[in-house]
Amino acid sequence: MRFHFTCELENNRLNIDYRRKIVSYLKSCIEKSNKDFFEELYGKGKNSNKEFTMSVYFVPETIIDRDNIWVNSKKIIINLSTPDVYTGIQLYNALSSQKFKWYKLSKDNSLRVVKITNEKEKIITQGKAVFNTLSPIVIRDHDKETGKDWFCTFEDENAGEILKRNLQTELEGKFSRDISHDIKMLKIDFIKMKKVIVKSYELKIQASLGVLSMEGEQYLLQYLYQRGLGSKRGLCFGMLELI
Amino acid sequence: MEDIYDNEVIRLTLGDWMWNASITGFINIVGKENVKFYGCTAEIPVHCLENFEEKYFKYFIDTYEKTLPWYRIISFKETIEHYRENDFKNLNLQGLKGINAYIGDIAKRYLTSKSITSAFELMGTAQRIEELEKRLQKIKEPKDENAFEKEKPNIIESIKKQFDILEEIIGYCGSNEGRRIIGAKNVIYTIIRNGWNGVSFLNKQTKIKDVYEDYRTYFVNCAIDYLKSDKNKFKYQCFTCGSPIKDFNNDMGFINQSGFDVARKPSHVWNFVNDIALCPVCKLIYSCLPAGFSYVGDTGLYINANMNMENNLKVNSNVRANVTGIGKEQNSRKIYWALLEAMKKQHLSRQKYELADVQVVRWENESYKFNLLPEATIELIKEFEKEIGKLINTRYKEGKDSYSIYEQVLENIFNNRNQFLLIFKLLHYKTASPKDGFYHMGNIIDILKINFRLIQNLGGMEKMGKGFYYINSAKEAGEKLRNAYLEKDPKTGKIPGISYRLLNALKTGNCNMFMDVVINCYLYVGKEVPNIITEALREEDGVFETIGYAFVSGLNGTRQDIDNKTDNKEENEND
Repeated sequence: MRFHFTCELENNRLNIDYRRKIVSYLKSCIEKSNKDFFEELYGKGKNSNKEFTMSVYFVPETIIDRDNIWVNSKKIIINLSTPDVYTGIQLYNALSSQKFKWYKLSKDNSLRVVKITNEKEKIITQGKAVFNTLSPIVIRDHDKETGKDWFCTFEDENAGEILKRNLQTELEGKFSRDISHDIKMLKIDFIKMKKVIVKSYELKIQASLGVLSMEGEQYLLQYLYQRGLGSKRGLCFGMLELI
Repeated sequence: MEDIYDNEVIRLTLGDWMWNASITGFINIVGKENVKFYGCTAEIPVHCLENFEEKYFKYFIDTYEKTLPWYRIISFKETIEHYRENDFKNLNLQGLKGINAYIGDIAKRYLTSKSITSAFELMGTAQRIEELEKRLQKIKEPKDENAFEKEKPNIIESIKKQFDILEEIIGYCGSNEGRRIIGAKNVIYTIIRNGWNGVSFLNKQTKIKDVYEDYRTYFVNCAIDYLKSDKNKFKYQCFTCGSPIKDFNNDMGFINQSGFDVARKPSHVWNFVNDIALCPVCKLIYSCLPAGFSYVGDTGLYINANMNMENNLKVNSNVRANVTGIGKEQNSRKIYWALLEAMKKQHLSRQKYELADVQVVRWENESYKFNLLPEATIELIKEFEKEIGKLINTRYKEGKDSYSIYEQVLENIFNNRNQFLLIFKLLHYKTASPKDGFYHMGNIIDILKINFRLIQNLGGMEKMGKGFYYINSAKEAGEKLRNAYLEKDPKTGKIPGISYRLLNALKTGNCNMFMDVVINCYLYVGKEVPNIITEALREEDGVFETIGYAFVSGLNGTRQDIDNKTDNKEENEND
C-alpha cells in the first residue's frame, strides 16, 4: 500500500531536522485516531520494527541551506508505503481523520494534510529489480557488546553484508517459513549512489541516496520494495521506488 | 394354511435404510395396532397377510387421495352441486371457462388415458364410459360478459346436459369400486413406481389385468406358500434375513436404483455367479418400500431413525402428515419443509438413549441421496427457523432454469457445506443481471448469519463470538459507503463496478485486492475506513469472506435502490 499525503505549510521555512517533526505529526494523528495501534507502534518502552517507510518530497521551489529548508510553494508530500494492509489502513485512517486540521510543527510553522491519494503498487515478477531511493538509506552497524551504532554508506565494503545481517534479525518470524537462506542469497548492488549527511535528532548520520539493484527471491524483493530498505524507516528513511 | 395363520409371526429387525423403509411401509400397511414392538424389532402376526393386497392399495389411496387424478375427476361433484343449489344464478363467463377447463383438461384427458380405460374395463363399464366421453363436449364460450348474459339461458341448458353426463361419469368413478380400481391404477404410476418397477403389475407384459390379483399372486401368495413350505431341504440363504431358500430366482432387480438384472449383468457379483436373492417374505416387504417413503411429485423422503422401531414410525408419519396434510402447492420445497417440521417434532420427543445423528434419505431425480443430520444441524435449523422461512419464495434464474434459494441453503446445511459460493452467486447476479434474482440483500444477510453459525458449528470463527455484531456492522459500513457515494453524486454508476471488483477479490480469497478496492473507495469519498474492515484481516478461516460479503450486501443497498440504479451505466471508479 502506497499513499501520498499532500500537506500544506503555514510558513515556508522548515528546520533541516524536519523528519522528527513529521514523525511527531504522524504520532499525534495515530494517537488521536486509534490508541491501541499507537501503543502497538510507539507505546512506552516499545522499540518495535516499524512495518512501513516514509519519504518527504518538497514541492519546488526549494532552497536548502545549512539549517533550514525554504519551501516556497509551501507544499510537501509525505509518501508512505507498507506491505501490511492493517498498518496501511490504520495510518490512512489516522491522517485522514486529521485532514484540514492544522498541527503545530514549531513556534512559527504548522502543517495540515489537504489531499490523500494512493498509488498502485507495482508487482515485481522477476528475480532482479532496480530501485531509486526516495529517502536516504541508513546502514547501521550495531555493536551488541558496546551498544554503539556506526553508520556506514555504500562506499564501505561490508555495507551489503550489514544490510543483510540487519534483515535477518528484522525478518525473523515474519514469514511462515525460515527465509534466512533467501536473505543470504540476496545480492545488493549500489549502481549510482552518493553519500549524504543527514541531521536527525541532533545527530549527524551518513546515508546513501541514488540507484541500486537487488537480485534474489521475487517475494523478498516485493517485500523490500513495499517496506523499504535499511534502518530508521519509520523516520523517513529507506523508501524505495521501482524503476 | 389355517395353522400358520394362527400362531406364526413375522419377526422383523431394523437393518439398512432400504430395509427399514420397507419395514416402515409394511407396518403402515398392516396397521400399527396389529404389531408388537420390542425395541428395534417388530412382530407381525402372519394373519395380517390375509387380504394384504387390499390393504396395500388402500394405504396408498388413503394417504395420497387428494393428489390422485381420480380425486381431480370426482372432486368436481362439489362444483356441480354448488351450481345446482343456487340454480346457476352465480354462473359467469369465468365460471364457464372453469367448467370447460375441467371438461377438456381433466375429464376428457383422464377418461381417454390408457391406465384409466383399463380400469374401466375391469369394472365392466368401459363401453358406457366411452359413450359418455364422446358425448361430453366443451360449451361454446361467448366473447365477453355482455354476450354471455344474452346467451345465458342457452348456456345453462347445455351446461345442465353436460352436468348430467359428468354426474354419471363421476358416479362410476366415485363408487367404492371406482375408487378401489382407478385409485389403485393412479397410485401405481404416481407413487409405487418410485420404489420399484418391472415386475407384477408394473411389468409391461403382465398377463393379469386386475392389479390386485396380480399383486396377490406375485407377492402375497408366494410369501404365504413359502411360510407354509418345508424349508429343510433348501440349501441357499436369503440375502436379507438369512432364511433358507430354494434357489436364486427371487433377485432384487425390481427395486429401483438398488437391484440389477442378474441375468444380464453378472459382473456385479463375485466370480459372475449370482448369490444375491431374497426369500419371498423379504420380497413382499421390499414391495412396501414406497409406503415407507413420503412422496411429493417425483421427490420422496425417508428418515432413517434406526434406533427404535416405534420412533422410526412416528418420525416418518410426522413427515407424511406434513407432506400430504397442509397446503395445496405441490413442489419439492414441501419435502424440505416437511423434513424440518418432522425433525423439530422428533427433537422435542427425543429420548435419552437415542443417538443424535439421523440419516435422511431422499429420492430425487430418480436416484437416492443421503444425508446425515447431526444434532448441531437440527439445532441450527431450529435457531434460524425464521430466516430460513423467509427464503421460501426466493429464487434466482440461471440461463433458463430457476433455482430455489431455500433448497440450496438447506442442501448446504445438510451437507455441512459453507454458503459462500451461493452468496457469491447471489451477489453477483444482483450486480450483473438484477432482473434474474428474486431476492433482496436482507436474504443474503440472513444466509450469512446461517453460514456464520454453520462454520462455528464446524469449529471455525470461534473468536467472533455468538452474536452477529460483525455481520451487522459490516453491512452498515457498506450502506454508509453507498450513501456517501450517492451523496457525492446521486446519479453515480460506480457502485456495481466496485461490487464486481470486491466480489472478485472475495471469490479468490485475495484480501489485499479487497483492501485496495476498499481503500480506493474511502479515498474517493474522503472518509476513514471503518474498524470492521480491518477486522476482516484476522487470520481465521471464513472471517474475511463473512465480513466481505456482508459489506458488499450493504454496499448493494436495498431492492428499490438497485432497481433505480440499474439503468445507469457502469463507470470505472478511481480514474
